[in-house]
Amino acid sequence: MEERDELQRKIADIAGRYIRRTAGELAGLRELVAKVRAGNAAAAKEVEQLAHKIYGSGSMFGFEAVSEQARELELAAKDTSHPQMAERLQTLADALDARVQVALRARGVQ
Amino acid sequence: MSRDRVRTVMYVDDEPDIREIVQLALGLVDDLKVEICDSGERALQRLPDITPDLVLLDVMMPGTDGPTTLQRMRADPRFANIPVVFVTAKAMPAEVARFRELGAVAVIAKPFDPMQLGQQIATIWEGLEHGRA
Repeated sequence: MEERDELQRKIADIAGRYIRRTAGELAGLRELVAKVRAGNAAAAKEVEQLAHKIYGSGSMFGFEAVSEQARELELAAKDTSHPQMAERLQTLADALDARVQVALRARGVQ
Repeated sequence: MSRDRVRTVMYVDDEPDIREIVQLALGLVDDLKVEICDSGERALQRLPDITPDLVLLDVMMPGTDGPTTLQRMRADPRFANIPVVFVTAKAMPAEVARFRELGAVAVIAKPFDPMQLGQQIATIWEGLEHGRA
């Protein structure tokens, strides 16, 4: 039982690290979205990969709202035929940013 | 080779946090050796030295992704028979069916419960053993 308690504690530590790192990755995400808006279609693939990473790990650490928002962004980045893809990515990236900030505040990180 | 329980597992994921969780979770399983790799390419390099009983592969990784890693394992007679399990957030039924078609013996969905991961792997292994019997 002690080992399992220790595992739970370590998972909580890793979760804190994850959300701080994700907050740091948002600047890169914004740059990628700006590239898509500037007509760089290849950057959409990078947006998709980054969003997928945030989606997969977010759910592992209990950041459901962050994870769901990242999933929406991932799917939007895949939908390259959408006429307003770049604008959608911007909106969804902003929404993801907001979710991450909420998660950070909930953990007492500003 | 048929064994009563899994002794060596290779886990491949580009996500450092998930790798750490898996290492910790499987560290709770007695006598289980765990080899962690951060990419499909690295896994393919390490396979000849490790020859694990089971390989757990993340699906979406930069460079050599999970399906490509599996494909390359299957093309190499040394590793063609090592069972592969995909660990993925892409666990919708159609995707699971596709992963099975690619040759995965099972799919573990993210998020998974780290406390249960060892048991999940044991259950998959038992299923494989029954299939061999």
